[in-house]
Amino acid sequence: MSILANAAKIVAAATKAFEVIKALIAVGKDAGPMIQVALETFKKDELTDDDLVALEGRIEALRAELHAPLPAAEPGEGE
Amino acid sequence: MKKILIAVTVAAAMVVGGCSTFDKLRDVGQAVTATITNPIDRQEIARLESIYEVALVGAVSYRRYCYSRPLAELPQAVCGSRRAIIRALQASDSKAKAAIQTAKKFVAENPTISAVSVVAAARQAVTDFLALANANAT
Repeated sequence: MSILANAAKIVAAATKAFEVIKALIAVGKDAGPMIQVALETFKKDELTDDDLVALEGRIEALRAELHAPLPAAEPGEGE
Repeated sequence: MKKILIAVTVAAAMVVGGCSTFDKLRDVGQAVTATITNPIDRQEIARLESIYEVALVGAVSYRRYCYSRPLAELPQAVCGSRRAIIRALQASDSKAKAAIQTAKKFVAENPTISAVSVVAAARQAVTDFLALANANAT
C-alpha cells in the first residue's frame, strides 16, 4: 500500500476521532446543569418531601422527552 | 463536566453496585416473606431514583444531540444508529421505571415484609439503564 493511501487512512481515522470528541463535548455541555442538579440530590443525606416532589417532576419531564415520538427517518437512515 | 459525570457514575456504581445499605440488608436475610419491619424506606428508594435520574439525563442528552442537526452533519460513530439506540434506551428506561414503581408500591403496601427482592430487581434495572446511557452519552 502506498504512503499516500496510508496517510489518507490516518487522516480519516483522526477526523472520525475528532468528530467523536466534539460530540462528547457537546453532549457534556448539554447535560452539565442537569447532572449538577441530580448530583446535589444524590449527595443529600436525607431527602425532604419537597426534594422528592422535585425529583419526581424532573424524572417525569426527562421521561417525556426520551419517549417522545422520534422524528421521521431521514432518506437512507436505517430504522 | 466529564469529571462530574465520572464522579456521579462512580457514586452511582457504589450505591447500585454493592456498597450500599441494600447489600447490608440483603445479608441480613433473603427471605422475601419474612415478617420484619421493612428496612427499606422511602429514602432508600429515593436514592435509587436519584441514580435513575442521572441515567435519564445521559439518555436525553444523547437524544438531543443526535437530533440537533441532520444526520449527515453529525458524527456517524456517535449518531449513525441513533434510532436504534434511542429505542433501546426507551425500552431500558421503561424496565427501570416499572421496577422502581413495583418496589415503591410494595414498600407502601407491605410495611412489615422484606422488600429486598423487589428493590434488588429495581436496582438491577437501574444499573442496566445507567450502563446503556453511559455507553452512549459519555
